[in-house]
Amino acid sequence: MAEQHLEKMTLARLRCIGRRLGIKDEEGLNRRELVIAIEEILEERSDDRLRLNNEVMNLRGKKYDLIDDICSESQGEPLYDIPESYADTSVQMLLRDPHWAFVYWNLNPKDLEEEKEARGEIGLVLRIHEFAHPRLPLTKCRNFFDISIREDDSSWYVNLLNLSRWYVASIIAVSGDWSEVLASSNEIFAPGGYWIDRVDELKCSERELALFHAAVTDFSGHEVDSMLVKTMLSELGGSRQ
Amino acid sequence: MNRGTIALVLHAHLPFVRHPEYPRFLEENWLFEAITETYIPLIRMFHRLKRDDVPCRVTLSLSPTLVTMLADPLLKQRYTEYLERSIELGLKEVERTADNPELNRLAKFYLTMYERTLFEYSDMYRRDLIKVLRELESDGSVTLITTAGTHAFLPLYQNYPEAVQAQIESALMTHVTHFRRKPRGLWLPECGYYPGLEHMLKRHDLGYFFTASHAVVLAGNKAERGVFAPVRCPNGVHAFARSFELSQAVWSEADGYPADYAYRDFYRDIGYDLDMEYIRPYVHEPDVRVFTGYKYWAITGKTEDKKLYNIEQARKRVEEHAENFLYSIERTHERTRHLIDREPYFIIPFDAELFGHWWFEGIDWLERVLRGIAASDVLELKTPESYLAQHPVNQELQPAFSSWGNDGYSSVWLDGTNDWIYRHIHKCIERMIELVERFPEQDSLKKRFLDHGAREVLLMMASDWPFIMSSGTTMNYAERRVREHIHNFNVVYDNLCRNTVDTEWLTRTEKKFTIFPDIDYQIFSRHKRS
Repeated sequence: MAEQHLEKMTLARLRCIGRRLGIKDEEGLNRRELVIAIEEILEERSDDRLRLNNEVMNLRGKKYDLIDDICSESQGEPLYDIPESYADTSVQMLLRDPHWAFVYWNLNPKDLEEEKEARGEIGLVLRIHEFAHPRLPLTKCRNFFDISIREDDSSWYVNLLNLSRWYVASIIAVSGDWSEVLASSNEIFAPGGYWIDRVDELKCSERELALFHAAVTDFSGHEVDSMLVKTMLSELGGSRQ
Repeated sequence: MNRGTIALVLHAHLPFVRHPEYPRFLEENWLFEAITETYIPLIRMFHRLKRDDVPCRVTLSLSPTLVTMLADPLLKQRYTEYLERSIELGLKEVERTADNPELNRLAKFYLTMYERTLFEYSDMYRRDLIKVLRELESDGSVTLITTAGTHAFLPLYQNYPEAVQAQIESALMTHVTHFRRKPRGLWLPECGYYPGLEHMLKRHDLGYFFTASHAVVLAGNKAERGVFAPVRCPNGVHAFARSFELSQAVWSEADGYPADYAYRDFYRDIGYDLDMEYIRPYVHEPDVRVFTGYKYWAITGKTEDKKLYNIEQARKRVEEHAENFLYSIERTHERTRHLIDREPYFIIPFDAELFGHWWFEGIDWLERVLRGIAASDVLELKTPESYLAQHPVNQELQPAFSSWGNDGYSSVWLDGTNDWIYRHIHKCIERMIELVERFPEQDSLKKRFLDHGAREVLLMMASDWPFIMSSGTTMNYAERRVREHIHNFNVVYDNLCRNTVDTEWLTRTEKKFTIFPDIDYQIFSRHKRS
């Protein structure tokens, strides 16, 4: 499908698409090589999509199945301008799943310049605070870990080590023994659930176990697409009673 | 006698796509294909059931973006033109296939389908599908509910209750305008739930919502009835969890009913198969091949060597699959009824566009299932509203963060392809809240600017854009749309900060994004949410 369409494109457009798809040395490839490279990437993407998506998401995608618009003409049209960054110093945390959070931040260059003038070279750290209870001040936090970041970094995916805990991210400037919190994020909660820590109890109750299985599996061996449910099913031995 | 009780929930949604600046726009086909293959066939099905006195009450969630597009004069006109083009292609196809009786029969089948659709849409329904849907609700065929204003995936906005409030309030406003009745329940986009969201629902008198099964199974306390009865959030709003086992028979792309080899193949379409010279007037300019709707081949198997689609054979499979589904419900009911202290209630939700559009035979299947339930002594269809009237007391439980996306949480809408959007969207929300505080009680031109700013923020929040970026289908369009709304909002913000108003720009942009015509920017007010 894509091949026919790609064959008709100008070399300049093929190179533009190649760049967008992350093909290295797209300028050095001839027309045929570019078409093959683009096709391979499109096919790989499509396979990945099918493999990674659950049933609901795969079918949802079909609503938007018109063309693979990486090849469409509007590809070459200029995009609307949007700001590259914002002039404040702030950090936000978004929960992706019980084990991972996405943290993004803005650093106002002025804030950093002031610190640099006063302290000389400074380093930046993304600190992830973990709490057993909500709404506690950062000073009460005993569990945290640091990730060194650069001035031009702006986001990070953070592994949340424990379930049923609250997390806050901070951006901290450090220089020698000195450190200062430049911004702290909202609080997020990594969900666990009643049965997560009680798998043995669940195993012992015939009714509860049957109810659990009936809710999250079917008789063809499919399981609800939830990473925590899958972990539990694997601890329970997987198959339905 | 014990009866298995079921709720069928169909969720119909498409993002707001309307491009008056182009004579024809590729992504508007999303709507045209869905009207032809899903919405009108569904309406036909409900009319047939009504005519035959078959009781059925299906819960139908209609997104405000879809409702707005169905009511839009420009899109109505373009849809009529789309049907006329499809009929013109059909006439050519009947001629082209004259020497092949089997192909010719299929070409005539599609031609008749498009001709009938055009007749019904223009002459019977007078292009007013909203009115038809309203009548279906009045006559008891469906219970209409709504979803978030632009179908935002709400867990990623939980730090901005003003934005969540604006999503819900804009949805209710649109629903009441078109259907003249306030819905009692809300479909959470992508079943995306976070603890505390129910407070926003209660504030708007919404009594129930639907969740993924692990929202209940992995709650902080034991769900005494599993997913087979609703749970009551601590504030009184009810959550109905999806029945995974029964949904799976239809949803599974690999071994669900729609994958049967006798069914029509979704992908093989003459838009891709025939010479460009022939098909050019019916694909997208310049020579971008698209689906035309003329699909002659059956799924057949994992082969490129497809068999011709056989309508009778497919109908036979529909009958078998409907019977099998009814049997599955009975079997699941029999197995689960001993586990809890009341008759189990099965929530079976689907994307409406799955039926007819992707699974061409899906609406026939649905009709047979509904007729089968009506005729059954052991099965019963019941809406969540009727269920709550019968069972007002339910276990109190706080559901857990969840969605029906990959891995069960936010990873579809928050991954390496789309995470960049949230920095900008969140900033626009913050600025919108700031504008509400800086410009209270505005009227006339400045209010129009503020209202449009609110509209742009809602549009950029649509879950469709990050979904498309993640799935890689039409990601160029999705990225352009998000950037366009961010850009437009920043024009509003900059104008108001400089105390200037570019009226020409505003008028042009308002004409393009006609959704939420009566929006009041105060829906982003901090005071309002508290």
